[in-house]
Parts: sequence; C-alpha cells; structure tokens
Amino acid sequence: MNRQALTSLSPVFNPTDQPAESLLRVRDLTARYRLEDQEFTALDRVSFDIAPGEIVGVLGESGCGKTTTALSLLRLLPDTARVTCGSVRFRGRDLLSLDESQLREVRGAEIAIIFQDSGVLNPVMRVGTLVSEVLRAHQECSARQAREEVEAFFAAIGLGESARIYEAYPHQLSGGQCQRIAIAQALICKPRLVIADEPTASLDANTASDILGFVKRLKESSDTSFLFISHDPATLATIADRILVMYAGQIVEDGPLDEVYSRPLHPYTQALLQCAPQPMATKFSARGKRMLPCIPGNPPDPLEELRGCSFSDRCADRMKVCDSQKPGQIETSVCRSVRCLKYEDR
Amino acid sequence: MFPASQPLLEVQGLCKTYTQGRWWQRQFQVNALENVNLILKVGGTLALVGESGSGKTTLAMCLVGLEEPDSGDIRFQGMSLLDPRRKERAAVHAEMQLIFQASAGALSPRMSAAEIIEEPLRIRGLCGRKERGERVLEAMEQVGLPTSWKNRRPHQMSGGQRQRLAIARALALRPKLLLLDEALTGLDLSIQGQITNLLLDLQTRHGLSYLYISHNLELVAHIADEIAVIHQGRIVEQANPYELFSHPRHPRSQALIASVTASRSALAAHGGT
Amino acid sequence: MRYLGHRLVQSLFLLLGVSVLSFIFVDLAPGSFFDEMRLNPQISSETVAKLRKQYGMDQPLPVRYMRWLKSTLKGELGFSFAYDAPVAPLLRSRARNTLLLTGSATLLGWLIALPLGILSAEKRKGWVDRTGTITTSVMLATPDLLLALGLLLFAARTRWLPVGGMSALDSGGQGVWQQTRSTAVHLVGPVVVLVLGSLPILMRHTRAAMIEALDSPYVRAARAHGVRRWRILFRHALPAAINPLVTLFGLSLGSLLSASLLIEVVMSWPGLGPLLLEAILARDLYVVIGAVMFASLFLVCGTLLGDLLLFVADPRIRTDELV
Repeated sequence: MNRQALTSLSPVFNPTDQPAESLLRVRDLTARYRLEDQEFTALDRVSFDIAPGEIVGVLGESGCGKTTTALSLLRLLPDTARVTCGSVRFRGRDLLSLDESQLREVRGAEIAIIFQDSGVLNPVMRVGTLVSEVLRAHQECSARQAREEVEAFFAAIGLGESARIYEAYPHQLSGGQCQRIAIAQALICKPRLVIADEPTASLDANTASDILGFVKRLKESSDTSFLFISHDPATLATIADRILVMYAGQIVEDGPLDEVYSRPLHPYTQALLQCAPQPMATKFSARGKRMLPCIPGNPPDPLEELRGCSFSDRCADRMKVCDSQKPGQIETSVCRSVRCLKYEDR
Repeated sequence: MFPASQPLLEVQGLCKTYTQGRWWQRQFQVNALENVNLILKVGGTLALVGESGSGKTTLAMCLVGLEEPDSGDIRFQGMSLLDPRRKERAAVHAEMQLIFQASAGALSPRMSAAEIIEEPLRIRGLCGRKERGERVLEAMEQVGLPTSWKNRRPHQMSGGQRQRLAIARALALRPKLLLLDEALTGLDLSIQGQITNLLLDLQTRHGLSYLYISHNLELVAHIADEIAVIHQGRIVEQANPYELFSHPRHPRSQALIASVTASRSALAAHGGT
Repeated sequence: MRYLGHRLVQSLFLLLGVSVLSFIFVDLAPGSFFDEMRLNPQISSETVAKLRKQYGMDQPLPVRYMRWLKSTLKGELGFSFAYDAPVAPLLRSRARNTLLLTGSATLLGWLIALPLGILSAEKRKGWVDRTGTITTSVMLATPDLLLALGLLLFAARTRWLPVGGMSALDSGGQGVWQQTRSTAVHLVGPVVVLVLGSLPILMRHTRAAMIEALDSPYVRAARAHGVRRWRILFRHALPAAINPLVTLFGLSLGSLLSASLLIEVVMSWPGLGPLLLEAILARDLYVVIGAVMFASLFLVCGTLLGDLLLFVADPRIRTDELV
C-alpha cells in the first residue's frame, strides 16, 4: 500500500474550512431507551469535540453507551430509542434538526460508520455491488465508472484480486476480507468523519494489526477524523490521539492518550487499564499461574435510578459523598476533564 | 481412586478429515486434525492456541463426542472414549463438560437459571429432586451468582453473568475436566479477569483440570501450565508459558507472540502499566 | 445437473406410488359403476356381466393395474365408463379450464400480496399495516364456501356478474373476441373468491419475511451508508426475504390443479372439480385415478420448480467455495 494510493482516498480539502474549527461538536447528548413499559437513560449529557484529522478513541465496556453514541450521531437508533436533548453540530450544521433526505446525504458521504456486527454485509448481494452502490447513492456516475473506482479502492486497502473479489458473495470471503469490505463501504465516498465501532474485535491478531495500521496511515496522509470505539485499551494505544472513557452512559474521563494512560484520573480508568493483560516474558515467572486484576461487581442496572455516582459501588476510592451526589464534569486542565467527586474542590 | 500421577486425558494420533463441497460439486478433503497428541495431568491446565480454522474446535468436538475422529485414540482416566459401548461412554462424558464461547446461544432463553443448571442432572438421573435443588444452589454459590437469581432468565443477565451460569451448569455434574472453547472471548476486560480468577479458584478448591482453547495467547498465558500451539490441524509446539514467550521455536508461535507483544508494547509506551 | 436427475427419478417413483395407492383406495371403496345398472330391472344381469367383462372389471386388481399402466403409457390414462371415451382427452380439456382459473388467481394474488406485504412491513403500525392485518384476519376466518356463495348471491342480486358457468348460454356462434370477453367476465367471480382465500396467507408471509430482512444488521448498515429508501427495500431487503416466499410460490404452483375444486363445483366452472365429483359419485374409476395423477404431477413439478428457483435466487445455496 503506497502513500499515493492513500492520498487518493482522502477527502478533498476545502481551503475555506478553518483548521481550528471543530469538525464535530457534541453537547449534552441524551438518549433514552424504552424497554416494555419502562424507560431508561442510555446516554447522559455526553459532550465532546472532534477536530479535523484527529482520532478520538472511546474506551468502555459493554453497556456503557458507546454504540448508542455512534448511532445517535447519525440518528440511526432503533424505534425503541430516542434522543431527548442535546445538539450535534457537524461543520456548523445541527444534525439532529435535519430532515430525513438531508440526513441521507450526510450518511455515508460525510460521516460514515463501520459496524461491529459480522452480518453487515447483505448475504445475497455481491460485495462489489455493496460498495459501489454507496458511491452511486452520493455521486453521479455510471455503473462502470463506479466499478473501476471500487476495484482501485480494493487494491489500495489490501484486497488482492479485486476483480474476483468484486464478484464474490460475503460467505465466500474470510472474516478479515469481510471487514475490509465494510471499511471500503465506509470510506469509498471519502467522508470527513468515520465512526468505527469495534472494527477489530472479532478478528485475529494479525488481521487486526493490519487494519489498525491502515487506519493510522490513512489518518497521517489525509484529514479524515475517526471516532474509534473499543473495549480494549491496547487497540486504542496504537492509533488514538485522544481518549474518552465511558461508563454507564456518561463520559467519565477525557484527555490526550498519553496523559490518560500514564496518569489516569478516574478510578474506573485506573482499574480498567490495570485489567489489560500485562506485557509478557518480563513479568512471567517460570512457576506460572497468577490471578488477574479485575473490577469486582457489575455495571449498574440501567433501569435502577441511582442517587449517587454510578461507579461508586465498585470504586476503590469510594467516599461517603459518592453515594448521594452525582459528579459533574470537571476540567482539570486545558484539554482534560473528569467526572469524579475526588476532584471536585480542586 | 484415580492415581494423580497418570494423565487425566491423553490424546494419541488423532486424525479427522472433512470433505467439502456439495454433492453436485467437485469435492476436496480438508485435514482438520492431523496426528494430534496431547497430555493433560490431573489438576492442570492445558491451553490450545491457534488461529481460526486451525482445528481447535474440531478437537473439542471430538473430545466431547460430538464428532467422530477418523483414527487415533482419546483416553480419559485410562479408558478409551472411542469405545463403541454407549453406556460407559455416557458415564465418562459426565466427567467432562464443555463450555462454549457465546453462552447466550448455549443457554435456553425459556429456562430460568435454576432450570438450566438442573437440566444435566435431571437428564442423567443422577440424584433425586431435593438433592438436585441443593446442587443447584451449591453451583450458583461456587460461581458467585446470587442464589436469589434462581428464577432469572439468561437474557436478563449480562454476558459475564451468563458465562458464570454456563460454568455453574457444567459444575453441577461435578466433572473432573472442563473444556473451555473460547469461553472468555468477547467478554469485557474486567469481567475476563473475574471469570479467570474464578476458574483458578475452583481449580485450587476442587482439583479441576482445564483444557482451554483460544486464539488469544496472552489470556491463556495466565492460567495455563502448558500451551500447545496448533496450526492447520497439527500441534507445532508445546511448552510452558515462560518458555514459549521467551524462546518460541516454531514460526507460527513466533508470529503469534510477535503480534501480542506489538500491541502490548504500544500500551506500555503510552504509559499503561 | 445431477441434482435434477435425482429429483426426476424420485418424482417418477412418487407418481408410481401415488397411482398404486389411488388404485387400491378407489377399489376398496364400496360400490362400482355397474351397481346402478344392476338395480335397474330393465337391464338383465347377463348384460351387466357382459359389460363388466368388456371393461375388464372382472379381472383381479394387479392385472387391471397393469392394463391401466399400459394405457397410460399410450397416453390414454384408462377408459371412462360414463363418457365412453379415453380419460386423457377428457381431463385435458377440463384441466385447461381449471388452469385458466387458478393461473389467473395465483398471479393476481401474488401481484397484490407482494406490494401490500412489503408496504406493511416497511411502515409497521401504519395505516396499510393496520387495515391489512384486520382484513386478512377476517378473510382467514371466512371459509371459501361462504365467500363463493356470497359472491353468487351478489351476482344474482345485482346482475353485474354472471351467476356461474364459463360462458354465456348463447355464446355458441360468436366470434373469438366476444367469446374471450365473455369468458373473462365469467372468470371474475371465481377468481375473486380464490384470491380472497389465498391473499391473507401470502400477505402475512411476505410481511413476516420482509420484517425480518428489514431488521437485519445489513439493512441497518445500508441505511447508515445513505442508500436510498427504494433501493434498500427492493435491492437489499426483498432478495434477502425471498427464501420462504419462493418455497411458498412453489407450493402455489403445485396446487394449481387442486386448489379450486370446491369453488368450481359451487360456481359451476367447468373444470376438473365437477368432473371429479361426478366421477367419484358414479364410481368412474379411471377418471378419478387420472385426475388424482394429474394433480400429483402438478404438485411434484411445482415443488421441484420451487426448489430450482430457490437455487437460482439464493447465492448461499448456489455457491460454496471460498474465493
């Protein structure tokens, strides 16, 4: 994969865009799900910014709201969910106030999602068609032009034998190849923001590192921003510029990658980073088995209304006030914030 | 009483070939397992690591009797599992339990937790109703599930809790060997730690042996006494974790370890402990 | 290709089996064609015996079966006592009428059910869906017979439609166009009844299959990529939903000869239905067996066609090897 090919994948840079302007500004995004006759809050006042060319990693475990955040940005939530308040400003426009046809133009062309599900490729359609139709949905071009462009793209992302793969069906491809097709679908229109929801979770180590390498090179050679969601700190360590840590529907910590990983402020972040399996060989003794660090307990049941901090029952630094007061977002320095009562009076 | 010095499980020269292709297409053979040899001692943990398609799941299926190998032998406590006499095989299989990865799929959504744990006991007719109830509560306590959750259904639990339920079901029969086929993959990191510690604890308390199958090398390194690397149906290297990580000999093991260390060192470089 | 060969051989055996069974069953049924003649004092018993011998009815069962088989291979399918003619031509003309009826009804039924099913799946709880659910429930609960009688009553009262039959009484000397028009007008009644009878099932199946496809991850992903609504509906969801519908279509084809028998009798449509009924009542053996064989043949062909269509429609069944 060469640099030239990568540059061809980047969006056209418009000189009138101010570089300092955030590409995406999310403020107080709140979403609620309806389960039978009860409602619960899946996202609680989520706020963050993404600058052009930045990779923001969202770190969190199952049920913390990371996928809900991704879906809310493009209003792809299922019927049982709705965004109750907040704003999502993308290049100056509020996405939550657009109508369906305007939104359709944004989806895929300016903001694209790479899903985690292995079933995102329609099993009765050829993969080449799946990618070229995304192109043709947003641009005027003939079938043949689309096909040529798609095959060139396949070659650029490392899918050899583009012509054969174009004609193949998803069940004829391996997991790694399918994931690359999903990536191709997202990137073919050169969107400015790509939301990647655990794209490497189900892949083995080699394929995963290939894909992460590709994302990194893409970011370096163009202005594409990423919102990269993962439950694995190591995956994000290779590519993210900033980290958002999510727990129980809230962003509990926000800051540059180096700082969050080397000096985590929130107890959850500290505990989570400890859980990542240790680098090998140096820490191993020849005698073997050892207990792994873990966070005792379970994430809170979303249907239960909590009066205090949602992490308090599992927190190692729990204070008395944590049970009765909800922490607000506190800015500890220019680009860092944390949602924890420990830092309240500083 | 089975002597602890003898291996609990011995796999000798196991071979299994599949034929691929529908019957109106040209057929070709796939060697899923080729001359696999493994030994598992009482109270020990053997990890089988390989990429997808390397034959790990085929081996697990052969061990529990869901598939018939073409040749070779599997001996559990000295007795061959491939014995055609069904009654003996059934008794032996009770001592060997399998836990799958996607436990949500392995647990019936129509049954409550207690019913799920009780089911194998009921099917095998091992004990009366009262004793079954006691064993259910015992199993739930062992895995750390509150006994008040007896009547909860799997979909009302989180992934980690479901996996505990699957382990409780396996433990109800008081087996000697647990086969874990990617049982921790897909769980959150913090929960992986919880379940791993649970498994280690159960091993110390009850003398359980584990055969852990996974593609995730670093996870098994914490709980295994021996790691066997499998590639395209063959065991290419077998060693204890320390040796394997410091001096891997086969190119496949080296490749696996390389990708693990790459991601971990990235984490370390950014200050993750 | 080998698959096709297998299925054809299977079907042949099936048809042979059906013929043997129907032979045995019809024979086991009490009474014979000649019973009525015997009751008639004017016909002497010797005449009856002679007739019986002539038609080979005094032979044992296996011999009669072999003779029938030979006649079938010649293309005659046995001999009708009542009509005094070979069975095959009789069946052919009647079958044509039946096929005209059921063919139009099946076509119309699918043409209405598919779009309705798709629309109600797409906008669940919308007005199409709600009215559709209510009407289909009502239609499912109403027996075909009631619908047929209701329609006849309606036709008699309003005179907008003919009350049964396939052609007007005075249509003998008319030109082709007139005859076609007349037939078409007569078709309306029975077709409406058949369509109303089959529509609920087709629509519900379509709706269910489409809902499953529309809820799938790949349709959600297509929406996320900004693919237009119609394309998602017809290019993504429908092909993925088509599996159960193709099988259903095969069954529709298979029941082309048998679905309308009752309606034909009630509405006096000169198809296989009335013929079969007469033949059963008169114990006209070979007509009954012939009709049964015809219907079985259609069923077998229909399901085979359904399976072949499935093979064509679903690439997962068709292709297997990894690229």
